Amino acid sequence: MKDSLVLLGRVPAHPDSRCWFLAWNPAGTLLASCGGDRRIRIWGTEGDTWVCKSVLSEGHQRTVRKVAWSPCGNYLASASFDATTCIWKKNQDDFECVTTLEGHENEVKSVAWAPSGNLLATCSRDKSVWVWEVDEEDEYECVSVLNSHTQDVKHVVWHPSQELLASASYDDTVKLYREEEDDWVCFATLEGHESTVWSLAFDPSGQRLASCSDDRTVRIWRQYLPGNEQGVS
Amino acid sequence: MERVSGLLSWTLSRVLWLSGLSEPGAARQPRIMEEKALEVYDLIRTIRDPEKPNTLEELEVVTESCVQVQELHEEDYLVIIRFTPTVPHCSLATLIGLCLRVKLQRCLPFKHKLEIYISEGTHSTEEDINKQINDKERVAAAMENPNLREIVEQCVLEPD
Repeated sequence: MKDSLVLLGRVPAHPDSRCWFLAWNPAGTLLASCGGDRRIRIWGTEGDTWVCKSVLSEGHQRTVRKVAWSPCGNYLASASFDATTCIWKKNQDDFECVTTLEGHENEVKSVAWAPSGNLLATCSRDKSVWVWEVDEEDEYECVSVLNSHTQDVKHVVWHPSQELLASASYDDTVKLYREEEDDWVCFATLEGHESTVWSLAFDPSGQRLASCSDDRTVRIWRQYLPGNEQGVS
Repeated sequence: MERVSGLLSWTLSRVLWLSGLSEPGAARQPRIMEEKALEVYDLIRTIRDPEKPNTLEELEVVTESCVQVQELHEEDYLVIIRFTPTVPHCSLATLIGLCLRVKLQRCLPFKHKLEIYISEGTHSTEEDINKQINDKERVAAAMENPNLREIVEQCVLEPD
């Protein structure tokens, strides 16, 4: 079969538990995995084999659901069922937890860095999406709590070039947010999915948004600016 | 013995298929699916009801016919269970759904995907419950709650 994928390796990543998520660092040299064993593992290659370079324990008391690398590659954020988000700083092969973001009422389902590196978003079963600002001293401050969804929020993702945020929820919708006059607001709701929307992804140009759902469909969304005919492809 | 008969029936179906006499998988469909469904039922019938000192079978919450097995790919199956809760109480129905999932996750030997539903017309909020008990993330998070976990463990414990 032409163009098929070849399996390069298989590693037992999280003993006796689920591996919930994976993320490549921006350079493509490291893979971060997180799981039901409450740990995060950093994987890299040594020659032809994949080895575990680091195990980040002591960060969370419950399942780590997602991990996300900062655009510069020096930080890793982890979202956990223990209702917190940890920010880890990379120091060669070691990672140190520099801060723990608290505030969500229950399980944090997703975390995402904005392309600028100055903003972070988290979402939770508490139905909210939080936007955090980071300054040069690695200080984090929550700048907005968005309560637009009516159910568990499963995923958040930033637009590749604009400060625009998208969230996917158990309430079957996708919502979009941006800053208007110093306040973060939900400016659009994408309806159409017939069940929980689990994940989202923007294409590199940011013109299209893909969403996938428990309704067994993948939908591609495009923005139509005022004056154009509304449509969904 | 089971392995040998499994291999024989697989070989038989391949021969039939290669000779153009049947569709792949069709030859083994009904009998193997029934066997698999019975395997599932054997595991779930002994689960204890969270409230009453009876098993789900005794209370007719599950019956043999409430289990359906379909083949997804080779050696990978879709198991569908439709259960009938004894009371319209939301949390109890969700708890039973959780017990079913945990028991099968731990004890069912073959690779499977599981869908659990409240049998139609037996509950006012069945859509809400069905959505919750089939949300793997919500199920996993619920099982990390020590109180809930303890109740589930008591219900799925195999009798001595």
